[in-house]
Amino acid sequence: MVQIIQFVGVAFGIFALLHVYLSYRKSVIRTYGFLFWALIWLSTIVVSLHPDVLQLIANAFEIQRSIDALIYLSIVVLFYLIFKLYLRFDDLERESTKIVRMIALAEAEKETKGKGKGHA
Amino acid sequence: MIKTEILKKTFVVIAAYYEEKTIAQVLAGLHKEGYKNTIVVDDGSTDTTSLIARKHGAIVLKHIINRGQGAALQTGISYALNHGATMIITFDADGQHQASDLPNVLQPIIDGNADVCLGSRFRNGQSNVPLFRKLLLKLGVLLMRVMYGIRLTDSHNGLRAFSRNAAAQLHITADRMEHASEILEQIMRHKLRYLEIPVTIKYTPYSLHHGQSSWNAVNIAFQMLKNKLLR
Repeated sequence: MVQIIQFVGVAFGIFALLHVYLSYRKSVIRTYGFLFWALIWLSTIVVSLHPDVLQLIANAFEIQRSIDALIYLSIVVLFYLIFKLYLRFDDLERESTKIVRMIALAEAEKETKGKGKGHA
Repeated sequence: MIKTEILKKTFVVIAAYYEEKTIAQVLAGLHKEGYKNTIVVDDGSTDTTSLIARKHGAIVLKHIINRGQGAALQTGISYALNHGATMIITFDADGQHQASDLPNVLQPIIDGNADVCLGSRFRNGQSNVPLFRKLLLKLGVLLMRVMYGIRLTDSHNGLRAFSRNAAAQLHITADRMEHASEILEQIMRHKLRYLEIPVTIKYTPYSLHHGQSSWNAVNIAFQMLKNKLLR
């Protein structure tokens, strides 16, 4: 008997997979990103069709309920993603400062050249 | 007091963010004491800070968007190094620092006894420090001692002097207020010789209102922890 959640899981998985594929085709995301997210959504479809797969994983980790295993795993993955995002954000801030600094120094050099003055 | 030839290659870097009210006095005070190489880094202000600074004889570097005091100081320091500075001073734009303190701050570097001189408001027994701020500053000192092993009485004073060699080794990457701790960490990491020099901090209602809120200390501590753990 197919549960509603299974149906929703498969439908959403297919929709998301298509979206990811189209993004890849349009070069919005690169190969690595495409493979990562494709794997996520394929897993979603597989697990929706065969929820017993989850139970196998849960048993491997000695967790009672399969849904618990899924939630624990999701949380760990989310933390990791947030960590990576945070690092990238930090890097972006540094890069922005580098640009702003370059502009400030270049403008200053332009001015001193314009005035024909040198600074000791 | 300090020889003119030395002053010719001494640069004062002032990071300014909306300081149109005080920048003129600060510059006048510095020029009067003979510090002609004043660099004002306007960190994205949209008021008349740059205009006034230029009018009062400062070299003005403009950050087109606000990046933070750390970033502004690094920009100024880079400029100074590119223009042959032998000594570089960081100085506040809000009037809290006194130009008359500079000779004491510079002398150990001139004599070759230190690479970095850091101003301390607590070394001369200055007593008008607001209580809450004093508490936070003392906590800051303890934190710096624990995290970096640096022994200071005032770890968050913007008045600093660097020899060219020391300044060249600095790479301030912390844009915002945590740059103060980053500088101390780099001093220890590069094993620079540092000395603390008593200076006077003038608290005015304007500077207290305009400057960092004491609560910002929590944010700074958080940033420091984050940097230590993630980098």
